[in-house]
Amino acid sequence: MTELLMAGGESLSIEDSEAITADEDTHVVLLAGPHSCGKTTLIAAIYDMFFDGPVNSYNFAGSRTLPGFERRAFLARTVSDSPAPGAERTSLAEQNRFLHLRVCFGVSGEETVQQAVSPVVESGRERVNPAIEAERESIEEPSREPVVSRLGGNERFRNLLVADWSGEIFERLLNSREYAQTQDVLKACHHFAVLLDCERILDQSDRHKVLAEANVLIRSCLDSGIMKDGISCSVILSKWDLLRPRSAARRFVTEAQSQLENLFASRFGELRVFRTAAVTRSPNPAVPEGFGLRELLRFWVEYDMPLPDVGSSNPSS
Amino acid sequence: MTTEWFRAAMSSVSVVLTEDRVQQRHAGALKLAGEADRYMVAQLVALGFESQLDSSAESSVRSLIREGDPTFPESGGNAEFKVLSAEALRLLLGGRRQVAKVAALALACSSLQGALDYHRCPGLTNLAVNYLSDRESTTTRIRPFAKLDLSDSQRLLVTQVQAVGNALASSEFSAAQSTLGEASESLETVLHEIETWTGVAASRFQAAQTNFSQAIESVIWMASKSSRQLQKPLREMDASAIAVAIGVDVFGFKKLNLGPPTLHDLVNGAIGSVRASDTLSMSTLRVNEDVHDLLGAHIPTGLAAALTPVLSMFMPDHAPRPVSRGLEEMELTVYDGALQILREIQLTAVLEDAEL
Repeated sequence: MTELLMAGGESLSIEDSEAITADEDTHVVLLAGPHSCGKTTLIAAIYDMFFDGPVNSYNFAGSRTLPGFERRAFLARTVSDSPAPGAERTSLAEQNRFLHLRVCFGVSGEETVQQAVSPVVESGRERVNPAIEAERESIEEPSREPVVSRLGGNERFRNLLVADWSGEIFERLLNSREYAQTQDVLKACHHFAVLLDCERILDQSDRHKVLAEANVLIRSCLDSGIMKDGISCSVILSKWDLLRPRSAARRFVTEAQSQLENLFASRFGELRVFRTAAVTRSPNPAVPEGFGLRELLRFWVEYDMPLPDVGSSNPSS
Repeated sequence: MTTEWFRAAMSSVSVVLTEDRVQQRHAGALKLAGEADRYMVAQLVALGFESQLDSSAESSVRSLIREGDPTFPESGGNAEFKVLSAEALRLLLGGRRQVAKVAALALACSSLQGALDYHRCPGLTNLAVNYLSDRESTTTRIRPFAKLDLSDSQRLLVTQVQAVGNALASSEFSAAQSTLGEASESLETVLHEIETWTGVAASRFQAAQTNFSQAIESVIWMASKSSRQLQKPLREMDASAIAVAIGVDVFGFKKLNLGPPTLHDLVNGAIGSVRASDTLSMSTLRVNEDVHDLLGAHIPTGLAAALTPVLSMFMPDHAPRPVSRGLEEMELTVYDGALQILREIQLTAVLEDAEL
């Protein structure tokens, strides 16, 4: 299938994204994992959470890629009743492209709506999230006085640019460290997120391979030397609802978690492990749908890469 | 030359950062640091503490940046704008421009003497505090007068006058006329040298006299252990009022020229080191009548209000300002409070055009 990836629609190119990062606080998130590990479903589920209103006190404040979110969310929803939930695969053509989500925090709802009068909100060409639509409809004329610029003020907006590497890229990275150096999105990311598929961890014969792949992937990317200093690493255990308490798979996960932390925590600004279930196959009060996603979103929104102290900052050129 | 911080900060506001972009943006920051006036500088500081710029200030700053970096956008690019603002302030503090003092004062005040960071620029506020300390430790040092040496000019002048005399004696009028011209130029040079030396000497003498009189006033004030403004002994006042009284009085006789004896010496001399460590809270400060009397003449307006966390609390509108956020929960020592009040009064004065 041939797709047209249009700026302001499906996804944003690096060039399109520069205007966002240069203008407002923006975190670039790179999701990496083999195909079918749940990357796209995860993104769709995060978007879907805003249907019910603010998430972690973040209000939706715009997106330049609503159609892209909508398509992913639609596919995730339509298959959610089927025995094996999932979403459309990320194609190779979408590498180095981003989905855009803008959130607003620390203000009242009324203020949020005012502030959401934003050039980044595209007019809806497709059905859009009703929470977002409701905000749009209640937008009032912005006040004409006093004249203050958009500069400064409480830093209330945060943009997320989310890229998900296709399964093909993942495979190539496992086989060639040099390939990582060709990935612009790796240079750009503030959050490097690796998904470990708990469905595969259930399978005793496959679980060690899952961990080994994650090890190789993280090491390849770190050794490429092109990532920014101080970025975070989110190790995401997807489909957590499939693992039963006190099972061998759970014990394996605990060991895998500490192994990854021992190996890599010191090489990132911060490394955190998240247990998530974007969608669930059967009702499970202990692991409801959307499990772990709020914490993950909070980390992506609020973790700031540390910058060097300007007083002891050495000349670099 | 760019620093690690500048590159990292630029990288945090870019998807893929190019070397060209780093250099272009740095040229913009250099231009800003080289030409921003005191009001622009104060605006750049306010921006780092969640205050909003007004549109005209933003437009002026953008124009300056674009003189150094024509690729900087006329609108938008606000995250980059903040990085360039911080870099311009850093450059200013490392340079020799007089407005660096405004930057340092504004950063020190807004950050409560380095307790808070400028937006995404760790260490900048400490640079400002150190800048002020360094300046204050040297500000009263008077350089010695160089001896006025006119011997070469004098010798030349005497020779030329003698040559004129000789030429006149032998009736060589044209030669006399030409030599007279040269002698006239030499005389002018001598007079200019005398004038220059006298000017330097006078200004240094004046500075020395100012320092001397301030030192005398400081010692008298310290010995009096009283608030000049309130005509009241410091021992009869609570910690909040003491801090404010010291800040106001020291500004009264030292203005911006805060050299030895240092504020620390003055506070310890006036109230002793034990009371200097007493703490004051902002909530008690706000309701103290002495404090209101003392600060009446120093309430900030306009831009200064966005940079003075303590003084702006006393503005008639009582509107909470971003710069004062969290201040109510803070406890400062009398010394810290006095220093903060003094700096805020100094900053308010420079933003009302006091001589730097």
